[in-house]
Amino acid sequence: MNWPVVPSRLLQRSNLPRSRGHSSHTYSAPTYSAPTSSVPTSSALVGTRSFLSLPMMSVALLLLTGCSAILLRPHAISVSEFSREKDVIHFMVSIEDSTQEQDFYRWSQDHIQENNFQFENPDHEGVPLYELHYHFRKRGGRFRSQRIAYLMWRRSEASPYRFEHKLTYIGSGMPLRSGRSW
Amino acid sequence: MVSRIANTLGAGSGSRTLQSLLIAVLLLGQCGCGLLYKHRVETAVGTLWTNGNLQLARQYQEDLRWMKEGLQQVLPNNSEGIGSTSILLVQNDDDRIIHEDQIRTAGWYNHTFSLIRFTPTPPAEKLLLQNQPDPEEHRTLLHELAHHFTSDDQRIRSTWWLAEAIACSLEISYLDPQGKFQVPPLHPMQYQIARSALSNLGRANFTKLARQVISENWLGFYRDDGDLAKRYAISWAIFWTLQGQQQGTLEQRLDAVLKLEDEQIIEQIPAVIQAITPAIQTQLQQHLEQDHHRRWAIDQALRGYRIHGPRILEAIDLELASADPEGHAWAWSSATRLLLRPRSRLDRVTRNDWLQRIEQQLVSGSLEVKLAICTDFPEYRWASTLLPRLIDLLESSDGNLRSAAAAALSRASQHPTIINPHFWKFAPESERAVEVSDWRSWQQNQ
Repeated sequence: MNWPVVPSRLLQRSNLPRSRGHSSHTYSAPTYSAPTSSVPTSSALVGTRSFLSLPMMSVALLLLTGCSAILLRPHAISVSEFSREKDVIHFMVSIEDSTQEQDFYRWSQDHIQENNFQFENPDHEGVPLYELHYHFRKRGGRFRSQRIAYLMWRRSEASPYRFEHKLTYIGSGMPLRSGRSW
Repeated sequence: MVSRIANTLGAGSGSRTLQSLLIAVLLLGQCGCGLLYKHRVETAVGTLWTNGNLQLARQYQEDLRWMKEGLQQVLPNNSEGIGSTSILLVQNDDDRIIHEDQIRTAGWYNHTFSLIRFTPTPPAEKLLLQNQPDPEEHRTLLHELAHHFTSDDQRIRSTWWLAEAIACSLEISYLDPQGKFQVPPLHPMQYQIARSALSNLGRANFTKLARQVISENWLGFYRDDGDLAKRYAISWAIFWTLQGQQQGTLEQRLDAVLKLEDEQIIEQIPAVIQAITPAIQTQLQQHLEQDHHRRWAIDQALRGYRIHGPRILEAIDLELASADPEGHAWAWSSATRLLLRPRSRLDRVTRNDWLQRIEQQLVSGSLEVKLAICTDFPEYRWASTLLPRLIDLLESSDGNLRSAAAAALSRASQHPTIINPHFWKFAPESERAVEVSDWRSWQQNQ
């Protein structure tokens, strides 16, 4: 029995251009969309298989979308930053939907790499960043938002050119400290 | 028997399975946990096994020595002839993720296999709690060890509430500055949980729950119904009240409690209610005057929401009168935590007087005292009189002190600074001078 082959590239992250806008303190974060544009159409596949393949293809498509969904990062509506230290930045990330706990990690990791925080401090040139704090909030109704996760990254002592994930707190009870040192 | 079974074909395969199983069990028994765990560390109480951090295991190796000696000292009869135990030190991969409201099993003890399994406080949680004075790292291990030291007594082993109450009473033990094992007079956390249960349930329902706790079997006591913490606290409160009514050493009082029948214990529930009615601060104040528990009582009292500052300052002054340099550093850091906080009931004169004394220490105190004050300097906005002294310390010749002063300034002021300890410890003086100059300019503009 031949199962439709899921092209491996479909399981990788999409390379679609990412929207990004900048202001001094608020910008939209890089987002990753599901690679739906690359999914082969059902008619193309059915044409080469008997009608019996249809249920299998449905299963394959389900698997495909399932796999794609796993690779989704939280969709950030907005990211704002504040800091009361020269080498610490707090990011408030508003997201639309709940997501898996590993996704917060991946999102913040990507954010660090894409903004080159290992080497650059956007607010204080020449001062290497020491800590990055991410506060994820889920947008609720009537402009209310709920804190859902907090992550802390700190410059590694062993290899100073990378940030080390120190903790992830899942929940809303984490006190939002005033940006001071931990 | 084995050869007869082997005569038939079917039984032959069964026998082979049985033999393999026996060999596997024998091998496991022979090799112990060596098949499952990478590291084996011999300790004073038995072998410690772990797949995690060997350095942490060695740290516990040291701790287990004083824990064993301490438990032997307070429970000489119970610990007589006590065998060794195996300790499984578990460190999870997701130690850096903390889930709100998730209750994890920190440890357990199995008497049949003489086995302790415990999970130390994850690094992430320590980071979260680092500004608290006592992250209670030893608590779980000491709790399970207390079970091991009391489990030979059938009366304790078969009474779940009592086994947990005794372990809870001993888990908060600590080594005092003289290296003496001390069992604190009460368990503040359990006291507060029990008191809160009394307040929420009322006397009648609290009495009902306490009666249930006393008569619960294993499944009933340990069931995960959201009230487990309450059952532990009520057990502790009952034992604490009953042993408080007895005379003699801890072990003698324990023996006296063990002789009580269930009905006699139930009769004492009103006394338990009466014992846990006063506020925790009132309970702690009784111990501020006792030399051997004073530091413990001050530490616990300072954690309260509303505290009686003048009484605690008197106790701190008594500690300052001692000649112990480590004690001085501890006392000054406690005084800093007390003065730089709200709801301490201190009048302006006393507050200003003590602030001057702290300022004086930041100028001319020992390195240990300065470090202790900076390290425990709280996030408090009304400490402006001390900020100039902290700025001076940024130019200290000691890197650790510079780093601690920067962290203290970061917590106490709105002015942005560099908090990376590496910068304050190792950056060239010229670079640090730029930052210090920034602080001085800010100070002049205030």
